[in-house]
Amino acid sequence: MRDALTFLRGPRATSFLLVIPAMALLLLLFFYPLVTLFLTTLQAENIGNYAAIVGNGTYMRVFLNTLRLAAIVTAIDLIIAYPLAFYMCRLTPTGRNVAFFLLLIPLWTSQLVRTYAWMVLLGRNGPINSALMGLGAIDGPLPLSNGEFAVVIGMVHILLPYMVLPIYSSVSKIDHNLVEASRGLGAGPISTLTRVLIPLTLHGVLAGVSLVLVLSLGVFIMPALLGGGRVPVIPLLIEQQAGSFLNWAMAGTFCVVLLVMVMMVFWLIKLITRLLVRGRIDV
Amino acid sequence: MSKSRNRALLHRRLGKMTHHVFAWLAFIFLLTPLLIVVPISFSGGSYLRFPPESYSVRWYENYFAQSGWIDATILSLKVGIVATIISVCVGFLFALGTTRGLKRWAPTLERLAIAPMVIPSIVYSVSMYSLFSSFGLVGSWLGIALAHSILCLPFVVIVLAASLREYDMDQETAAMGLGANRVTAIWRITIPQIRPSLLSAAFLAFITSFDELVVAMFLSGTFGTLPKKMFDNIRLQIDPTIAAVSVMEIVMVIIVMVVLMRLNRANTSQLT
Repeated sequence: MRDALTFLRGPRATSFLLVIPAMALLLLLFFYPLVTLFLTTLQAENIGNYAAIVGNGTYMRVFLNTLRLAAIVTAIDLIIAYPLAFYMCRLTPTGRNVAFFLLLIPLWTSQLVRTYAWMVLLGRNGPINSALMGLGAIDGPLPLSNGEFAVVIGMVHILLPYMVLPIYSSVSKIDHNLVEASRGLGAGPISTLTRVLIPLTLHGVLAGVSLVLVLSLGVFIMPALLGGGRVPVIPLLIEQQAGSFLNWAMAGTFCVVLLVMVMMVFWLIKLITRLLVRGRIDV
Repeated sequence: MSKSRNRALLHRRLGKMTHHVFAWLAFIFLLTPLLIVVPISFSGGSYLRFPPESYSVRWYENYFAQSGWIDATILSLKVGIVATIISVCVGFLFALGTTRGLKRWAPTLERLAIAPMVIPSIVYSVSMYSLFSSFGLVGSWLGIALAHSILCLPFVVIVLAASLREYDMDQETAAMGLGANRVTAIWRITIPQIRPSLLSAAFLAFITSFDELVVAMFLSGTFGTLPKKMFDNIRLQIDPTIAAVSVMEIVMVIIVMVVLMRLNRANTSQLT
């Protein structure tokens, strides 16, 4: 009894009360609807949808396409973000502020605005085609918009800051003496990179990769507006089932498939992180 | 010997140059789309051409003259403000809790609060549609605001928990030692100290809601928020009114960012 009273007056109980509103909101408006959605797809009249999906070659191709697109976007973002993060760490404090400013403006501008801008840039009469034709590099406009190329560019653009920020935070923690030591011991730039820098930044890289992979699986705006109907991904399937066919049960089943993909990616990256990063630290 | 050293130096300098050029190309890639909409928004012709043949402000006039655009903007502002208030209040209390008494539980609790960020918004929209249709909340702006406050919560929690962890708790204890109770100490000592982070959290929350398309698309009935109006407009007819709206949004973001960076000069990285 007395223990209970001291508990209630103590800091832990107050903190507990402080956490309740957010947790209640999350439970009621986030976890409850998601669990209900999942359970609905398991009901007797809906469970057949899973079999219908697995047996349908078109749907399976869309699933693979979604994963492939996410992998391409993540790989390109990693290739751009890794050197960029190192560059930002080397800047003076003022330069770094400017770089952050340039990195964050696009992050905070509406995705619709940016998608619209890419539609203009990549359009038949857009600046890229006009410039190439003006230079005489091509005879007619290239079909840049309305297809996978445009979707990949748009997604790489939207997700790049999410890759740069975690890598930047792990690069900024590197002790520069280690790099000097590696050079002093005779390592060339490549072995310094592969044997010192990459292992030290692996944690940030994996965090960025998992964030970008997961976010790119769920992107809706870019495939819808830049794909021209030629880039089938799961979010578009869900919108089609719910919005056009009003088949909410089928839409729910696709949602579960997408969620399972997201979780598998998470767990996979977590597993890789555990295998690689912990091994390094122990050594 | 000196020849090889010279060569090494040359290589290193070349490497640095390439790095420099590469980084600025990446920044140009990031910024070009935002810059390109400016001349287009001022174009005089009625369809897209770059560079525009003549210049005018007719697309801005068009935006302000059409009640459809203005109504959508007002609705988005309303939804954004309510979602920001809910998420910042609830998120601030949550961050106070996880950074003080519940330290052992903090990682788990925070992971739960951040989950809405990584769940695809379309999945969330479908699940909320089923929930809200049983409450008759589909088609009500308050329903959209509630759903948005969940999407804003992760950003609020990330920013505020980081800032409360850095905050020196002894100041609050000192205030209490001088006779203030905990609420007064938090209100008069802690909140003023973390005000820049509170403002960044509020701004991030507002932007998240103001730009959100998918949830608003599913939960709004006949009316639409600004992103929904923009989406429909882009799909049906690409006229430069969108560019005018875009420029106004970009200018708004830049103004708020400059103000926040001034306030928060020491910790720019926290704004993420």
